[in-house]
Amino acid sequence: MNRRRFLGAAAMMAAAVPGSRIGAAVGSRQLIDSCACDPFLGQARDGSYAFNPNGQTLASDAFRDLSSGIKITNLKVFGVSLTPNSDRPYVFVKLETNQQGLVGWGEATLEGKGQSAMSCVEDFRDFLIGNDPMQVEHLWQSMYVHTFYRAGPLIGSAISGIDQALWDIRGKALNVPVYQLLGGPYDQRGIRGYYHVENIRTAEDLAHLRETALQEGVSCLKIGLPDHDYEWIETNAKIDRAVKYMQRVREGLGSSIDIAVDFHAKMGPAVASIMIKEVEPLNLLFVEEPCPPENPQAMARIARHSTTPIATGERLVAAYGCRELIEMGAVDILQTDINHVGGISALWKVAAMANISNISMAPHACEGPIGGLATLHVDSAMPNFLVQEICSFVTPGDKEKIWAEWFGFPAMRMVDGRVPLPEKPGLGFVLSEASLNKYPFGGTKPMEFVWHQDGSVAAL
Amino acid sequence: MTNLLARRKPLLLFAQPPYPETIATSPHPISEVRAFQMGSPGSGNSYVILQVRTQSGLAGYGECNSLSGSDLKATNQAVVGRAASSYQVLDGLVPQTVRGGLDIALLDIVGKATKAPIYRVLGGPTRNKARAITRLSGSSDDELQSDLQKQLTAGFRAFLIPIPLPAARNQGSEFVRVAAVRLKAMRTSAPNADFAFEARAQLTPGDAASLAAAVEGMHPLWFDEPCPVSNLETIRKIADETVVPLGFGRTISDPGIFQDLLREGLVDLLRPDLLTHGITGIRRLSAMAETYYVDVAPWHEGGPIAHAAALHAAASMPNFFIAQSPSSAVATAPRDGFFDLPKGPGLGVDVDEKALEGNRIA
Repeated sequence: MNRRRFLGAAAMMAAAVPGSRIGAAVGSRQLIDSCACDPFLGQARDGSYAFNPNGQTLASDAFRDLSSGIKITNLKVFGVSLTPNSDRPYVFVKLETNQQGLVGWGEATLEGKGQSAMSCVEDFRDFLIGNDPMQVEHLWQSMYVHTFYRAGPLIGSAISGIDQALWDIRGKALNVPVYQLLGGPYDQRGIRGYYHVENIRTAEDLAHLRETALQEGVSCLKIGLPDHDYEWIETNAKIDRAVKYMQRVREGLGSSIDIAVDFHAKMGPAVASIMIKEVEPLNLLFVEEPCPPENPQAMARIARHSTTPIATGERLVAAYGCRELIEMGAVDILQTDINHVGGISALWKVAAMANISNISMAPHACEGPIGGLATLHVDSAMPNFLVQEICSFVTPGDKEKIWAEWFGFPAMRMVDGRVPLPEKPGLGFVLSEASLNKYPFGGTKPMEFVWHQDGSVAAL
Repeated sequence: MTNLLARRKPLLLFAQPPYPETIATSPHPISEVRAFQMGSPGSGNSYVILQVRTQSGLAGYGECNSLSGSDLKATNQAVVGRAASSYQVLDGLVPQTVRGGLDIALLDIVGKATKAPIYRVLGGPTRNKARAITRLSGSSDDELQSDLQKQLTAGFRAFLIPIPLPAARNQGSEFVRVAAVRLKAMRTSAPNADFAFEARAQLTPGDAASLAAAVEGMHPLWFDEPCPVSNLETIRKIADETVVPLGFGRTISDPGIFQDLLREGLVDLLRPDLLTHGITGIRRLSAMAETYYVDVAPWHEGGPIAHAAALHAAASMPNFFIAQSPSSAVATAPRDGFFDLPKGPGLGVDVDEKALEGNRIA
């Protein structure tokens, strides 16, 4: 494949007189903006397609004989702020096609970077218009590889939104829900989820929460830590407060509700290791992001100290981003987010790779409802699925009302402990542009600023 | 309190592997799985055609390497009444021998039901044709040379060459000389063709490394199964001492072994058996291999159904490299080194049911 082409090119390079060919090409319009790192500009090569800096060569040109007949005709991006100050305006992507009524929706929300995410989606316009939306894997590769810099969270989120929209189109065109294209569902009753816990101050609060949760069939809840900030070395008082808090929650909820604790990468491996060791007897379902995400070695250090399962991954992009954690045995549960990792295609790949190491999947989801609905389809086809995050509480809030208003059903609510699978073709919903108009884009708003006691910067 | 506990009880099921009642029964519930023996079992040139029928009247086909009557029975017990589209889920419920074939047959059904080629069901095509390779047959240099000319005319541009095996273990210079002469003679007679060489896991690591080092300057595509994958350290010698790409996989059924090979940098081309892993299993391996910048070239010794499945797998993976023409079947000839992709729904293969009837496995 590409390797062979490269070898061929390398051999030619060896034979070329340095400089002469580049000199001959100077003056052509194409080279002005080029880095001149391709000395074969304009030369015939071994049948490989399409280096074309003017973007005239569509992927679809090479696939004319295999085309589904469907073409992407338009890309639209919507910034949707539920409140004017929202730090995570939903970035919705809509792809239109040459088929009457056939459109796809996806979500590219990136917290704190609303405008950038919208622009980044727009930047992929030339990768899409005129192409066959059924070739999701091909277009995904083009977006990721032809971007040259591969992808971090911003480009990853943009690709995610587009990928979801492409899957939505494909499901609709083939007239099946996306989970059937993925070979699911493992459980036709729906997807096991967990809610977050809010406002527990007293033992009564906990008892009440336990009762409502069990009545609703909720089998798992997630809590945060009691302090707002943690330093990389911490005081006895703060460590103690965190440990006692986790113990209190376990006592209050009993052993029949699984408890996950989100450390939110607020601390480093030293402090995380101490806390996690102390709470080992609580048999937590997992501790999430015990340290920041850049350093798998640090994560592995924490994991080695305790039997408590370690979960991480919401900030990672593509299967590439998860490889080292998996190799090092630094993680028990991966939490890649369908809105950042690269959409359905990438979440599926992460799960497939994780499964080979018997690592479970608990996908993150703390943005809008389109990514939420998309993730359910992938969850249902994972042999190693554990639980799905639902960024809400046992008692639904205002945003769920808005979601229900958009889709005509409550998008991410569990019934008897499971979110029902969307059964309509594609991602399983119909959304009108007009229904989004009530929530215009409020601009990019930063996420929370958190400072330590001495005014230095703390993780949020 | 009692009430709460009663409500809690069904939740305990979450911790268990999937219970049959959790598996979907529609669309296209499976009505029967049939199997047909092709070639004599154990002949080295045999395979089993699997036919999955649905209550909705569809039939999907796959191939397995071998299948016993009892495994066929167990398969029927596990999948009849379940939705054919749950191909990922059903994979875990059937005996190991049937998994790859069942996956192919179920994807054939999904494709037929959605009127799309399998690669389109899976988000492809990722390419518009599939690079082809064929294994040269013959035991002497002359026979191989004559087959080379024949296959060049047929349209192949890449060839797997069986290397002459050493007379005994660790033969050193004479073995390396004879094998290198064979490979170089091939390159001379077909300077624009590419070659991989295969040892069918018959060499010691020392012999394999010496041979690889001797021919690395002629840039073979890869060295196929130089020695058995018994433990990783045996392979490390070859991988460390040469830059010839190494291909392993036809005997590996556990994906974890592929992961170890990749993690340790001991493999450059995955060669998983299509009939063991199915299209889906191979795509799952390919997802992992992609993160190591490693290509996948599925291997099989099945028939035309497997060949079609291999082309669909090729067109649904980004990191596919080459499709090997099966020896036991008349595959469509490649055009200038590439197979055309099938275009019909499902596998795009028409199967004459009546011709199979006599071979049915009871």
